[in-house]
This record gives sequence, C-alpha cells and structure tokens, in this order.
Amino acid sequence: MAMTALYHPHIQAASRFNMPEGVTPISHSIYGLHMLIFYICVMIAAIVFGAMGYIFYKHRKSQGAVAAQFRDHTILEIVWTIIPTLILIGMAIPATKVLINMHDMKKTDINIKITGMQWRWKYEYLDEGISFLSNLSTPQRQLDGYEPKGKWYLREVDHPLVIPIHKKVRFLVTSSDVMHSWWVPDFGVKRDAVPGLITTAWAKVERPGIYRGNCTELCGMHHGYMPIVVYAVTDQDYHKWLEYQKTQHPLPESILKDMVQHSIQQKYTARIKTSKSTASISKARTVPSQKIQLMTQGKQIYPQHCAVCHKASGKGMPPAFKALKGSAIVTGPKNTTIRTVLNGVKGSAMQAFSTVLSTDQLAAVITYIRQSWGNDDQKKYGRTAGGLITAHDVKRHHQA
Amino acid sequence: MSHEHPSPNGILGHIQRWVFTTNHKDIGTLYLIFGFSMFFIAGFMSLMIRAQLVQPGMQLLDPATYNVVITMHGLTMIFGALMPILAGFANWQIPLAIGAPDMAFPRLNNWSFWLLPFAFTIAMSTLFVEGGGPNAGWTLYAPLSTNYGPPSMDYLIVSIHMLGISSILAAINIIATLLNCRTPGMSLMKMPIFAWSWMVTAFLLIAVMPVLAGTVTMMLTDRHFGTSFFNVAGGGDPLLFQHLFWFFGHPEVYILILPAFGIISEIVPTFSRKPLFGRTSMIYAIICIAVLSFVVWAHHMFTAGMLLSTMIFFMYTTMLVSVPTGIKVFNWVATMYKGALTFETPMLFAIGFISMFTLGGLTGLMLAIAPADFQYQDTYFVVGHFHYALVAGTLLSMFAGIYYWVPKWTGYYYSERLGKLHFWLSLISVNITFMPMHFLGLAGMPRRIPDYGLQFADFNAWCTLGAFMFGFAQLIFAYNMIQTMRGKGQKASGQVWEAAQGLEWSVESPAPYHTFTTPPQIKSET
Repeated sequence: MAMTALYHPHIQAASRFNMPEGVTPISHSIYGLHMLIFYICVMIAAIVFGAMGYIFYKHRKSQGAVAAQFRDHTILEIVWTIIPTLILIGMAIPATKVLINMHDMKKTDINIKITGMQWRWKYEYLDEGISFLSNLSTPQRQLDGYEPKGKWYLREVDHPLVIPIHKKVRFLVTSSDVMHSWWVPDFGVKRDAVPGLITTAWAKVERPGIYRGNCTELCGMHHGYMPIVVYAVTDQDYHKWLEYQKTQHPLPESILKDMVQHSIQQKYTARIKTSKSTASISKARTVPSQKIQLMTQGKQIYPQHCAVCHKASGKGMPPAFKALKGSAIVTGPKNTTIRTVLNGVKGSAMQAFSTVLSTDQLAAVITYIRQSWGNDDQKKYGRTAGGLITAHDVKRHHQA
Repeated sequence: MSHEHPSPNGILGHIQRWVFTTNHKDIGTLYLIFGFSMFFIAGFMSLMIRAQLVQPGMQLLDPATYNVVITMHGLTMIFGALMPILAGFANWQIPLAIGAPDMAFPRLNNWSFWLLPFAFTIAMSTLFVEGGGPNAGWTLYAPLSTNYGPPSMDYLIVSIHMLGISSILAAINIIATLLNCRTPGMSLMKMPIFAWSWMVTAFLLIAVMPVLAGTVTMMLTDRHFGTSFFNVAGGGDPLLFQHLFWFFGHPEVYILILPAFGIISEIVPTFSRKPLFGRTSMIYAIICIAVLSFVVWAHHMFTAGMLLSTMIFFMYTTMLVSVPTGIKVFNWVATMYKGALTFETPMLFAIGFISMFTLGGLTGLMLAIAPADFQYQDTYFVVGHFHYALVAGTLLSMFAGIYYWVPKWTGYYYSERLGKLHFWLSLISVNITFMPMHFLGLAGMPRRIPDYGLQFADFNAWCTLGAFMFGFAQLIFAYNMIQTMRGKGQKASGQVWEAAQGLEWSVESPAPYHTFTTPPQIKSET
C-alpha cells in the first residue's frame, strides 16, 4: 500500500488538530477514549451553548421579555445531577480497562532501562548488556540561527533507541538527577523519570518506522533540548543491529534509516555489509594518527556534552559557566584537567563525567579542549599546556 | 471613595492614611490596586514568553532566563494577582453584602494586606540576584528546586511563608466576619451567594496554606540543614514533594475559581431580572466541589508512578468533580431562562465567563480520564486547559465584578463603550491565544520549552498574536478604570443597576466610608 506514508508515521498521523492514533495497542485504545470523551464534551457544549443562544435570542428585555420569577425546580436539578453521573460511569468503565491493560507487565520480551539525565537519555538493553547515550544532534549553529533549521530541528538525536516490532518491550524509566519524563506520543507511553524510583510502561509496536518524542517534565535549562527518537525495525534487523552494537562500532544514522526503510519493505538484502559508508568508517578508524583520531572523536563529543555550557567557542557564559579558552585548569598540568572532568566541580554546574563517557571518549574530549582555541600555546601557558591524553591516562585517575 | 474622616494633609498624611487604615473599603482598594499592578507585571512576563515562542529559534530569552520568566509569571499571577484581587472583592463586598460595619478584625485585615507588598518585593528581587531567579516552574518540583536550585529559591521560600500568613489571616478574618457580623435575621442560608463562595474558599485556604508552608520549609531544610525529605540519596522521596504540593495545589485552583462562581452568581440574576435558580443547590455545589478538591490531587501525577488502584481512585474522584460543576453551569443558564436580559459590560463578561469556563471544565473532564492523561500530561493541552479556567474563567469574572461594583465604589459609571470594546477584544483574543494550545499539546508539544520543532510553528504564531491583542485590551481596561476613579463618568445612584438585589445597593454611591453602623433590616425573602 502506501509505503512512503508508512515511512513517515508523523506525516501519516499529521492531523494537526488531534492526537496521533499511534502504532501500539495502548495508543489505539487511548485514542479511542480520547475521541469518545471528546464527542461527549462536544455534545454537552452543544446543549449548553444551544440553550444560551436560544435564551439570548428569545429572552431579551429589548424584545419586550418580562422576567418570570421561578426560583427552582427540584426534578430538573435531580435530572442534571443523575444524567452526568451516568455518563461518567459509562466513561469510567472503558477507561479503567485501558488503565489495567497499561499496567500489565507480564510476559515482556525485551527490557530497556531508560535513565534521564541533564540533558540526555541513557538506554540500557538489560538482556543484551549494551548501553549508550542519546543526545540532541541538531547542530548548535541551527539553534543559534546561523544556519537554516533542518526538518527535524530539535527532534533528532545522535544514537536513537532501536526496538523490534511485534515484541512486547518493557521500558523501565528512572533518573540520575532531577525529574524528567520519557514520552513517545505514537506509543502512548509517557513515564516520569524519578530519581530513586523505576516507573514502567510497555509498547508493542505494530509498524516499522521512526517515532519521535520529547522530555516532558521541566528538568532545568536544557529541558527543551532532550528529544527521543525510536527506530522500530523487524526482529531480524534488530538482531543485526545488536551485533553491530556489541562490537562497539555503532551504526551511523544513514544505515539505521536504511534499516527502517528496509524493514518497511520487508525484503532483506545484505545491504548493511556492503554499504559504502560502513566500509569507509571502519577504514577511517584504523588509519589516522593518534592525534587526529583523538581530535576527531573529541570534536564530535564536545558539542554534545560540553558546548551547551562552555559554548563552541570555548568562551563559556561567565560567571555561571567558565571559559575553557585560556582556563588555568585546561592549560595547566593534564592531571588537573582529567580530574576536573572526571569528578566535576562540587557546588557548580560542572558535573562529573566519569560515569557519563567511556575512557576513550574522555581521553578524546580532554585532548580536544587542551588543543583547541590556542590552549596548546606553550609560549603563553608554559610547558604543561596541550599534549595528548590517552585512555590509559584517564584510567589511572578512574582507579584513584 | 468618599472619606468622612478628615485625613491629615500633605503627602505624609496620605501615606499614613493608607498604611494605617483599618477600614475594609480602603483595604479592599489597596488589594485591588496591588493585585492589578501585579497582573500587569506578570502579564508583561507572559508577553515575553510569547515573544520568545513566536517562531522556532531563540528570539528574546536564553533558556535559563526563560525558565525564570515562566516560573515568576505563574507565581506572580496566582499569588500576586488573582488571590489579592479576589481578596479585594471580599474586603469591599462582604461587609456590605451582610450588613456589617466592617470586617471582624480590622487591624488583622491591615496586616494581611501589608504583608503582600513586602513578600513580593522579596520575590521580585530574585530577578536581580546572582544565579538568577527561581527556575523550577511554579510547581517548584524537587529536586530541581532543592539540590539543583539557585540560591534565590531561599528568597522565594521566605516570600511564600509571608504570603501564606497573609492568606491565612485574611481567611480567618472572613470566616469570623461571616459567622459573627451578619445583620440580624440573615441566616446562613440567606447569606448572599458571593459571601457563601468566600466562606468556603476561606476554609480551603486555612486547610491548605499550612501544607504549602510545611512543604517549602522541608525544601529549606533539605537545601541547608542536611535533611532528606525529598532527596533519594538520604532516604527521601521526590514524589513526596509532589503529593504535598498538589494536596495544596488542587484546592488552590478552587480557591481561585470559587469566588469567581460567587461573583457570576450575583451578576447573572441582576441582568436577567430574575432570582438565582436553585440557590440552595448552588451553595451545596460549592461545598461539594470544595470537599472533593481534597481527594483529587494525584491526578496531577498520573505519569509519575503510582499503584494502579491509586490511579483508579483518583480518576474516579476527579471525574466526580464535574457533577457539581455542571450543576453550577446549568443553574446559571436556568437563571437566564425566561428572564428579561440586558447586556451591559458586567453581564457580557459574566456570559463570557460561563461559556469559556464551560470549555475549560470540559477539557478538565478529558484530563481526568487517566489513560488519555498519559498523552495530555505536561503538554500544551494542559496549558490551554488551565488558562481557559484561570484567564478566560477567573480573570473574566474579575472584570465582570469590577464593572459591576465600580459604580458603587466610586460613585461613577465607567465608559460603557470602552467596557464593551474591552470585552470583545478580550474574548476574541483569549480564544486566539489559548485555543491553538490544545492542538499544539495533542500534536506533541511539551510545556515549558523555550524552543520547539518546526511543525509547531503556525499555531505558536497565532498564540503570540492573541496574547499581544489580549495585553492591548487590558490597557483599555486600565484607562477606563482610571477615568472612572477620577470621576469622569456619569454619576451613579445608590441602586446602580435596575434589578440589583442585596444590601450593598441600599447604601448610596459611592458607599460612605462607614456603612451599617446600625444593623440594616433585611427584606424577608421566601
């Protein structure tokens, strides 16, 4: 049928005035309840406004109306107490059924732990032992208005969540700092991420596709910048993806998109293996010198984790967010820099990154900040400035 | 306002008069002027929010400042504008309506008011301190407001304590006045409906303001004295904060709407020239809503993680609220039925209130359906819903009340032409502002975000347009009221409105500085 429409569920569900019908049993029943209560409300509104319209037309003093003097009517009052109550009971029964179904966590196939943190999501596949972070991937220049905004402005991430269709996926949602809320409208799933508590929800996606959502609980400065993207693919593609994920070579987004497309088309070819972009990426990993490798990786990590506060220019936003450019901590001995990044600065907005990034990533991003914006100028800052930081350096501090 | 007492001359004398006054009319005026000043400040903040959201991208505010502005907008509107304005109505109208010479505790009354300007000086000063103002939203959810909050949160806590004391004292005063100062022969069931609505509201205030005070004190000790009420790391629970807050917060929204019901129930009979339909059931409906308000709070937290049975309980109780609320709407319509209607500005605003509040109530019913609430929660649908209840509801009822009673207060009619212009502009713009928010929420736009995806752009532009129109309409209102206070309008008689019933219309306009020094006789009503 309409494959292209399926590929963009957001367009397919793009009634701009209404809730999406979604792609899970729960989202369908929510949509049903929503429409039912909506029509009831329309009916009540029609009765009230109709009566008011009639009164304004008929009982105007300017039309010679003379006021009657009745004060009450017991039967009428009983009627308009009983009838709404009956409507409510009629509404409560299906609503309760859906609520019970939403809370049915039996027989789940896949368990994914979702941790909200300022301001990114962490996904852990509990049965597979893999985990990764998912950050906003809209370039800072689009946010600042220097570049035209892309189609998925503020609704795109670097590492989307990937789940198989037709499987009961259980989400265990929690937080490591403040409250967040994980919401994907097409799944009918919204759960607050509460530190110290795990809230659960489940989804059984019917159609492959890309589904987008947002954090929906005010969680600080960048609350508006932690979107959610979920790729729903066939079980076969999901396992393929798992394999790649386990080898620590996450698939680039273009391949993932192909996968969704492919899942939709339901004809599998060995596209992923032969794909040009994977080949070139794996080649790129082996060739370059250590410095180029660290700097390239650092340059990718910096905008996602650091630039929010310290800005792409490294100038920060003093006094709250210190400049990295020319900072004594960044240009001084490298151990000081490593320690600061690993443990954060107590009592300030600088968080501890030791559990957020891997040692490789930490090494790359610390190298990057020590090499950029003229921070490696040894004439200006002394012999300790610049230099390369290896994963080994970072590990030493991790243990200490 | 006429003053029979010779007031001391000079600017110092004037200051003395207003600072030390124990007269209920003076204090009512102070409340109203303070409330509307705050309304314009918080309204300006809402225009900053709308200017920021006019299109995707950063227009005016950075994300950190944006959070401060939404927080202060909410707190200032609720505690600085709506509550004081309603208290102003109570001060002016309750003694006049029940034939009392003044409030029961005039000195306490003075103190209840004068706490407010100081409380808000403290709250507003946070905009200028290092680290920025409070930024956790008016709901102040922990741990964003505690371990992660800026230093200014402590100022806000002190300010909330002062507001709480002010509200509790005012509530005690109102209850004491209503129970002890009614003119002989006025039984409780004969008490005017506006006074009734405030009686119930005052009990709500006494019940929930201490809960808020306790909650913010727990925040304070969590922040500075090593306790862990809301901190998981120390064995506390962030959800405890939400439960406590909404145990205060839900009755609080009824505190904001019940006096509005009272005002509307006074105005509709006057301009329908017909007694209020089902007066007794109207009173019981108010009481019923107030009682229910204590057992519905967790519907604000359906997504936060609760037992299934708890959710079912709160879903049912919340749905129940619509029954007494429906009774009120039906009774207002029945009051107008077979009346002889005229459409002066107060009546227009009252009708505007009934229609808009009905819409806000119906979306409230939708939100009560817990499974559907999983999609609505914390989206613009909710923002649309409560602005229909509080702006198109409470605020319109306040305008209705002001236009209704201002001739009694000042002795002059306002400009009817400007009043009607104000009404139509407000009604149209309020719908342009808040109706698209429902669509935005359903389409997936979360609330409290400073920037948004491209598909939300059109509706947001409409919202902003409507908001600026609404802001402009309020300038017309301010001008009209200043002119009326300066005595520019037509002189008003004691009766003011042809068919107005009640003791306040038996005194001349403007109401003398001291009224009812001897208890008035009330006409025996059947």
